[in-house]
Amino acid sequence: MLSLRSTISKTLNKTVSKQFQQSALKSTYQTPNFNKYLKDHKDADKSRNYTYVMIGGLGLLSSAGAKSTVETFISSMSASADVLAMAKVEVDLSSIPEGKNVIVKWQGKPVFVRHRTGEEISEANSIDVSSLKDPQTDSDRVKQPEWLVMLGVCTHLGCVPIGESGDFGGWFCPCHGSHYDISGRIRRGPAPLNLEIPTYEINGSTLVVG
Amino acid sequence: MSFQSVIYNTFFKRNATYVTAVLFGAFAFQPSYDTFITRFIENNNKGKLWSDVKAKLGASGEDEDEDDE
Repeated sequence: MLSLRSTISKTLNKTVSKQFQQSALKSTYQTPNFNKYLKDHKDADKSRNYTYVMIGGLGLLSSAGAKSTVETFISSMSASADVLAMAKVEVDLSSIPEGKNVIVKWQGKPVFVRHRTGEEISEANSIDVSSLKDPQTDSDRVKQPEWLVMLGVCTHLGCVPIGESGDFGGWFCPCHGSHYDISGRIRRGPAPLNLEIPTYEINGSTLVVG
Repeated sequence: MSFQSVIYNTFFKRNATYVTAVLFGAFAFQPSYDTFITRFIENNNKGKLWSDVKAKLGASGEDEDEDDE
């Protein structure tokens, strides 16, 4: 009896292990037939391209949006049109006779424009530059020798000098007695520097300061 | 080589070309989109735009023209 039972269990063990081995080798799962759902002329590149175009299109749109957002912030930092309009001033030079001063307002500051005579030009060039407090040749200070354009603010404490006065035939600051010559260079008095030259351009008979 | 595989090989196969194409596309997209929308709106509002009205006013009187200058 005991021997019979043992033989039965032995054969059972054998069959179970054999079945297990077989199932591990080959799946019993029946793969469904997907042919019904597949396209007739299946092009792998086409469907793949579709996916890539969709993803790339999203990236394109979001990067365009990011670009325009950044552009909005950057363009808001630049000067607006009204500020730019105030930043420049135009002067008609043909209305200034030789040997006359004109004062124009530019960005809240006075700008001296002098139509210099030939005598004054040669006087400005005859000075020994090394003897000056702020050495600068006349050619460094003008673009065209007959037109002297400079900021009318005394470099000492910011007063407005008076034209055609002073000991050197140029400008004189009444506040603390600074004398400027016909090229706007400091010659005597407390001011440390020559009168400042703004950025300007002369196009024919019009002067654009700024 | 079909058209689709040429597209795949030139743009999508390498990430570098893919990203470059997307970024260049973003730069090209903005002005083209802008001109497209502008043209669409101008076509939709023909006769009501200031440029059309200005031409009509210029025919009747000269006073209006001076205001916008």
